[in-house]
Amino acid sequence: MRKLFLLALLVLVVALASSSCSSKKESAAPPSPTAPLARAPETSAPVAQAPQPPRDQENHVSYMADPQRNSPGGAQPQYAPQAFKRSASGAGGMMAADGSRERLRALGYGEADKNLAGAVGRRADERAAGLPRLGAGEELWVIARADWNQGATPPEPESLPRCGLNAKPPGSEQEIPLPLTHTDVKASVAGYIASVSVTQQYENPYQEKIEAVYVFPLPQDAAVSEFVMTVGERKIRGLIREREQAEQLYADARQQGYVASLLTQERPNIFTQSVANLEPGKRIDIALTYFNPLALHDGEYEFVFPMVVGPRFNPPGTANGVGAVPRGQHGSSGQATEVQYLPPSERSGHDIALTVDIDAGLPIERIESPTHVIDTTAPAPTRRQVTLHAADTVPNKDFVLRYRLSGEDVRGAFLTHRDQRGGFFTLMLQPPAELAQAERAPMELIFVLDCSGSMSGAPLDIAKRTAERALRRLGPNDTFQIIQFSESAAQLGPQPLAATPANLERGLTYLRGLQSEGGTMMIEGVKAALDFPHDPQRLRVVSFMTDGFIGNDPEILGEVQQRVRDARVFSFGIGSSVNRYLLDRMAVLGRGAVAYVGLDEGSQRAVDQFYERVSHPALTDLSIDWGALQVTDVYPQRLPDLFVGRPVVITGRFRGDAPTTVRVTGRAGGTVRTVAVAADPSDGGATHPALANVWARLKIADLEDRATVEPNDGTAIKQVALEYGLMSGYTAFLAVDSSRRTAGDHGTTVAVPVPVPDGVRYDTTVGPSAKREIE
Amino acid sequence: MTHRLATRLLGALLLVVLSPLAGRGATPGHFRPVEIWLDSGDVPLAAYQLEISAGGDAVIVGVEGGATPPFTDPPRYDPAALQGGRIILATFSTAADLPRGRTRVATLHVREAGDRAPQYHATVVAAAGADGRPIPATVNLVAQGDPS
Repeated sequence: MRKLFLLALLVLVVALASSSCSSKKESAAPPSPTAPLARAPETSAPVAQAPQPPRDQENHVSYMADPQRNSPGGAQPQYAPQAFKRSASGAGGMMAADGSRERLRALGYGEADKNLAGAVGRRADERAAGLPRLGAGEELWVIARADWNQGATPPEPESLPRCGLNAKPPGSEQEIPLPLTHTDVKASVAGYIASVSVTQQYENPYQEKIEAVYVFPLPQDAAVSEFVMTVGERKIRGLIREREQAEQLYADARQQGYVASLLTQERPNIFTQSVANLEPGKRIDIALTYFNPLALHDGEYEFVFPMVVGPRFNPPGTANGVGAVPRGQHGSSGQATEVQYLPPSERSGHDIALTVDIDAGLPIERIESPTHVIDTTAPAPTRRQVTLHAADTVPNKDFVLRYRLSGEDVRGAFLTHRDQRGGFFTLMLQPPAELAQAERAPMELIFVLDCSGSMSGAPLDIAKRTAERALRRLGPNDTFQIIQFSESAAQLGPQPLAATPANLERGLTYLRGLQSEGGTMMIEGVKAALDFPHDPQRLRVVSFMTDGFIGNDPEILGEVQQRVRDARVFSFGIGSSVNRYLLDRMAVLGRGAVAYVGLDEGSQRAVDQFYERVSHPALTDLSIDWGALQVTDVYPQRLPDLFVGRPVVITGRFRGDAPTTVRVTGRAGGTVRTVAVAADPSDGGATHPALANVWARLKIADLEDRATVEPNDGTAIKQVALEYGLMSGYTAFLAVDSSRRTAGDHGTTVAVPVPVPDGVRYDTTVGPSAKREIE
Repeated sequence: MTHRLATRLLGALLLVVLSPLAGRGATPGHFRPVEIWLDSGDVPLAAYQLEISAGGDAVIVGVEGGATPPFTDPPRYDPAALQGGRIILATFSTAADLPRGRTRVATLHVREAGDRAPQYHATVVAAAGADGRPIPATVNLVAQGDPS
């Protein structure tokens, strides 16, 4: 026994000596000739609070916890014994109990285990108490390392030495130096398809090399097809790869010191941009290009560009959600994706410029933005150039632009494109005009109001007003119900009430008394709204009123699909930066429609649109006779109902050359009706190359919807995305500049924190204070 | 008690000693640029399509534009044809001033893995002059040394 102990001590001495020698050798080695960067001056501030060994030296420390010291309470979540445990191999690996190690491994950060542990070690150093508290029989192995990286908690930006690129704070807000300085959006709209280029400018304001990580939104139907990284004057096109492979390649490049960038998709409307080895004072631009079809409602086209991801609530047990944490608290949410938010006292220097160039083909009658101040010029009656006003460049809410064309209405449009892959088309189906003359059947209107913390203040007030307006327009044969949900669901009464004046007054009183607090257990609202027995005499219309700030979107969409049956879902998105992916897909899966009510516009328009839809029978059970065209792969595969005021765009593949007539047949109010649309496959010789990508994106959306009910390995989505070069949850864009290796290791990971959306309260949605509300 | 302590200490020391070795044992591969040069002789080069492949475990991780206008923007690629080390590139220009002779039109960024250097192959699928007519052109690839 004594020999064993002495042997251990001997090995310890040898190991430490070896480590020291090794460290000296590396320190003495000449810098790489390809990495001429000057080091930060010695007078600069330290990178992190915790003491660190010299660069490139690994300082291994091991702790073994004394089970007798265990205490069941008092440990912070990030230090909790459940968070880390030894790997099965025992070779120093650390594993997050929630499986996040698998993600770290997938990301390929070679030292992820150690860095994860390193974070714990540093935090332990910073805490006088020292060690985390462990459960009985558990051991915690802490391995400190000189560098910070993805697996570790990044330092506060102000703890990094700065280059003086940022201004001093004006007024009471403190400006935080951040690596994302500017976003430039250039959109061009032809017909009803937008082509949008988004350029993000990353600039390192610190005196240390960094990796910048930015979680940002794009439209949920964006077909992201181009990715270009600009390093100085050189442009490097990123390639689409399988996500796991791209993450591994990025990690390798990052580890070896190459400038690299990676774009991954966390949700159809949430993306993560990582830029590795961004040197002090250097700038790297990332340009994305996507296509998306514009929405058309009641004769108005709508262009939307989201600017910030709203803070999401993740139900207990969720690990693949989207966490919302305060700036600098990386990893504290335990979610696979995490957004850091600036407290109200801070702001970033990140601003946005946006232009939209519209070529409508018909004279533009009216154009407006309900969300931003814009400047507009009209080079021609059919064209408009819109620029975001210089005083409205804070990226904290969706940009919405609406325009209306001259003329009575927009006719059905049939656009085509052919290339070596075959023919693609989009067909815009207009509801038959006579529907507007028909009376609707009685309905059972179910309002489902989100009363969680994120709806606190203006959003809930707007939701109440919207519901009140809708209630007041119910007919005597209708019934209604009001359901609220936050931590759980509650409702006005056990059964829907007849829309009598007395019952309506009762409903309004209930509505006015609703308060917002707690988490967003939306699943409870979905169940409460869709599960009770259906009145066969009435059309059930379920109206969700929410900002959609949840991290378990796929679960909610799966529940809606499984429970909706004959009901129709008409969602109202309330707020400045709504989760449009969730709201749109709920409406699609519920064969209804969606309307958005911003903070700066009244609810009148949305309620009018809603009643325009539900006040007349829809054309349901659609079938299409394609005439002389041979059509396949039509998306959406389940054709939606045609409501008054809301055209539907479908896409597909085709063969055939002869002009033909497409006939759409459906039922409305017990009558069979047919709509005829002229279709000329030659399309007047025009080409619309974006159609192939739009078709592929819609196919991916259809596959994503199916996966919410029947989870799979994503092979089908991956196949489509790789073939068409598109982003998806299973593919990623990667670009590496292999021409030069930067000096030093891969540097500190700095997340780009964002402001909470306009109108959203930080204290009820972000970090510990929000968590307190759900405990 | 002493045995447990010694066992743990020894375990910790093995961890200290073996961890760096384990890290060194991994061979993530190395990155290198591979330049693409086109020679169109005396005829101005306006458009090209190339097919490039690399054997072994090479993976293309980026496509950079050329050295001189009008080919400084990176060419487009066919995603359906993209595999690990295979790519089809194409671009065109309507600029008045087009390059002649030997021109670096693009650079591939490649990650190579394995013990053997991959064999690169390039084929000119098509090249065209300013009038859109096919022109003869040759392509060769120049793999740069490992910058490390």
